[in-house]
Amino acid sequence: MRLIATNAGEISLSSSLPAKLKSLQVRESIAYGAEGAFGHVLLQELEGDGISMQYSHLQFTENDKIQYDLDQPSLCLHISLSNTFLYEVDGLGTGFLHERGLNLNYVPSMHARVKVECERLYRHLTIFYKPEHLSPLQESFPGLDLFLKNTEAGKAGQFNTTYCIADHPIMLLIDTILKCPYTGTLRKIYLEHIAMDILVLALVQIRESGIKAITPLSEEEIAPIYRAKEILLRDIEKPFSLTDLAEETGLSPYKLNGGFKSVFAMGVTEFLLEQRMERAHLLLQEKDMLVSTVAKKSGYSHPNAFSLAFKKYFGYTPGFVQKNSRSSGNESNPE
Amino acid sequence: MPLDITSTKPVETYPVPSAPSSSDGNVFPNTEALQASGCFSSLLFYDHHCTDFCIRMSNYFVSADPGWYEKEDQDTILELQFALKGDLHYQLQDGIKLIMTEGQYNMLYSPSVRKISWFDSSNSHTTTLDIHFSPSYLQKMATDFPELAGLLEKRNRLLSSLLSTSPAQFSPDMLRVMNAIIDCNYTGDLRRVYMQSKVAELLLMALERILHRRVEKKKTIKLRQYDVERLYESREYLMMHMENPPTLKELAHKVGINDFKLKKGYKLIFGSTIFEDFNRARMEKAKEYLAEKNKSMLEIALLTGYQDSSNFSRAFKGYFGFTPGTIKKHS
Repeated sequence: MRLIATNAGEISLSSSLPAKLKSLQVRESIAYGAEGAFGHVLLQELEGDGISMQYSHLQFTENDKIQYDLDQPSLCLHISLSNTFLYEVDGLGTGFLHERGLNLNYVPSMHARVKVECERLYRHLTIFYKPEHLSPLQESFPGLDLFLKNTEAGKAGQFNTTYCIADHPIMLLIDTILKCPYTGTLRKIYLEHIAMDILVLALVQIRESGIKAITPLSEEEIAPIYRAKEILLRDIEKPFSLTDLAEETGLSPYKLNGGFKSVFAMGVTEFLLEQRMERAHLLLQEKDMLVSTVAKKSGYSHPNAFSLAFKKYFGYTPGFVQKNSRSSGNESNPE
Repeated sequence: MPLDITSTKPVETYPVPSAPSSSDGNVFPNTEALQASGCFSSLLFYDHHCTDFCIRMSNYFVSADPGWYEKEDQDTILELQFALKGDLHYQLQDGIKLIMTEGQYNMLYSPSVRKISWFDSSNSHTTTLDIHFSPSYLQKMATDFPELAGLLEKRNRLLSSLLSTSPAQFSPDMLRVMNAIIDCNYTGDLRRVYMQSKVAELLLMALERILHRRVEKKKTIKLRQYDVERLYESREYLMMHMENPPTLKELAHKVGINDFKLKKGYKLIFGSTIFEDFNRARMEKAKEYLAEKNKSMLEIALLTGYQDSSNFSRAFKGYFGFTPGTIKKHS
């Protein structure tokens, strides 16, 4: 397997991974990677039952353009997990996908070029479906029948005509895929069902975006939003102020909030709450973690306020997570 | 779905309450709702039929006296049942008892539904999420879960049975999936496809958790013959030094094993924690001493590792439920 980059040249990928990439490997994935002066690339295939997925990591030391070819009909859902992908696909044209952006399209064979900016980490998930996964849903989504007809005729096309965002439930499901603790046939069945869930939720997002269109940010506008996100995550334990964050990123609070809405489909405070809560949920599953410590680490100075917020967000208490999470230390991560 | 509910108590007729509005949080959207009412107050059922399974959320609001209530319907049950709110006690055919507290689940089979349930003030409002499966659907998973194959085998012989002798606690991840099922407001094909994958996920998670949990615990520690000998030694040491019990660290040091292994390994081999074991031994010893009558309370306290008699008395009462004085008086 190989990739061709305009500057870095040909990169040959190998199945024996360097240590750094090994730590990124998802359980039971078929992984190909390379590391060198150019940066690193890791492509992982995840096999579901009838549905396969590709999870990729890219990081380059210099600005570059990467050619990706796959000689097989591809009916795919593409979701950017970090950073903005500027792409050019034969048959579909050019476009971009910001973090959490999604596209559902078909190409009879995939020939794509992706632009990467230096030192930025790009993560991307592609789920390869078969027409029979989509056909039972034709009646619920206008235009899907036509899209499938074109697919059958081998005609490249994109189902979503507007920019779409993977909402929180979709991101949670992707997380489930990447952390799936199961093995063997169970894993395959499980992954297939999660992939079907994602498809349903993505189609709903696409349908809704047709009613209430989102104007995606331009390439220049997105940079301060990513920066704001970085700061937000770095300072997640500290008290939050929208005006301070706006100042640091050089945007007005209004613009900042608007920017978040068009990237993450939610405002800054809502995004912060989501991140704090997900982080707390994860920490609570760790062994010997006190609720008060978790509260502090997720930005709450009072454990009571934290517990209330947690209960409101998830519908169950922090204690419930502590008591019933199975990760007794030897679970979740393969490494 | 035909459903009869009878009770040993005289049944009064209550007006059937109207379907609750969606604002009260008990409604399962886009589903058929069945209701019944009687002296036990009201039951609300929400049904959703798919080809391979049927999802039912039941709300029992019991306002009558505590007692056993019998519930019958013509279907057999082969279901995954989650106690979302309140506790469940029931008796299936063949004398199988099922007790689940809030937050637990199990899978069960019974050839005809004649469930006798216990209700009292502690479970006056009970909510369960039941997913009834077709046997052929479960059969597909049976190769990966031998216990499930066993349950299906019992079903072939029309014997009631539980998948696991003790129910398991559901995890937050499972609760998230259940909430997605309950809150789903899709309709038509979309709903069908979505429910199919959600139910399959929940089933997998449930089976994996309830059937593999014991294995997981054992996995955490490996004992060599050397360790096992040290563990027996530690127990002996502990019993010999009851009047001056070592701390866990001291004990570990004394016998030459690390304290983590001591703690985990002890539980694994002797089935109880070091403290439970030690406490049981010294309480029994204390009882013996008390019966002998030739020792003062303070002496006994000191001999069983307590600093003073009041701490000892308290611990004694905590263990036996009566004070050491009662024994002294009666023996």
